[in-house]
Amino acid sequence: MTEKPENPNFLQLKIMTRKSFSGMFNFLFCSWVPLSKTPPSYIMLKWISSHNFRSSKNMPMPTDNIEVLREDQEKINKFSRLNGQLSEVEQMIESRTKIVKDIADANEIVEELQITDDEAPVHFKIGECFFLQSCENMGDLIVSEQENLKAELKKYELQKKSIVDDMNGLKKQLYAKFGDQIHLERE
Amino acid sequence: MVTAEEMKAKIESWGIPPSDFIEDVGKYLSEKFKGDGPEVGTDSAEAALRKLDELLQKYKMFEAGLAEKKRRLEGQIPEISQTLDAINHLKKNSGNTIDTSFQLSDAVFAKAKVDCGDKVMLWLGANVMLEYDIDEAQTLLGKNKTNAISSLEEVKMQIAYLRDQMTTTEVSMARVYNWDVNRRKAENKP
Repeated sequence: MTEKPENPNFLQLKIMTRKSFSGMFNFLFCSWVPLSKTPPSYIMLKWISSHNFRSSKNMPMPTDNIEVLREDQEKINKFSRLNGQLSEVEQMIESRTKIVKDIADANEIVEELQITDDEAPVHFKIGECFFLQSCENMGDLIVSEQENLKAELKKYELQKKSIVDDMNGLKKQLYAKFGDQIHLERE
Repeated sequence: MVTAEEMKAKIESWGIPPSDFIEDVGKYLSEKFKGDGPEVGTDSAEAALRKLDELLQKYKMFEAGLAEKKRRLEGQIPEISQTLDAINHLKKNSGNTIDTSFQLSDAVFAKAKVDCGDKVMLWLGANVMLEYDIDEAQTLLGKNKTNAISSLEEVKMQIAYLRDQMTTTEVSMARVYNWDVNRRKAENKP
């Protein structure tokens, strides 16, 4: 992206959805300029108050303006929703992957302990308490936990795949219609 | 499956104002934002934009509230699951005494022997703890968990709906703005 100098005659409209929910992406239906990191509401207000439409005669105009139809709006909405879901699922995958790794580490340690003593006492955390267990019992607990988590992880990964597929499909359609008047990438 | 009517009633009960799609910007402006002049112009477009921005701010308030609700529920569900796990463990060892390290405060643990009887105490909140049969406690927590999950689903639906409205509003703003740019472009042409 290239930064263009701020020019009061250069009309800009950058509409962003909130980062926390959607990742970042924006729709631009005019010529557009990346507007630093100012919150979108501020940009809008500033823009509304600072532009005097009638005095600026030579402003650049959007070259071609493609009408947004209801079905396009629905596609855009769906894309935006999917984008939000994607961030959520990605977070889930991240946290689950970490737990799976932790459990694998724990398993390794328990197996090492078992070599020396099958009945060696280990503390296993359930809820907020640690329960004293023998290594032997522990193995089963770990395995069942691990399987649960792996199943969950798989579920989330499948979800992610279908979301990404849907998004790519919509992206193709929307770019085909709006070309560079719409911007659907994460930043 | 939820029917379309049930869905509609549900959406109405959330109290989130809908953002209607603008079929034809020129018509929309002349119907709702026509000023004193004979034609709709920049004033109308500006008024419409201000109005849409107001709506967007309203949605943002809704969004903050819903995000908070979602966070709370998401924290609650694992808590309930953990309590359930602990109860299941006690049940499995029913009749035995088990050694535990018991949490006294954040970083202090003490050793305790726990007799696994058929009673557990559940913390209900508001400084109240009640004794339950272990089976009863299990059902109660199970029910709480299902409730929490279904409210979380509902909140997620609300967020999805809200997001649709926000996106529609944002696109409408861009379109109203572009409409005005194009109008002036046509005007300036000799």
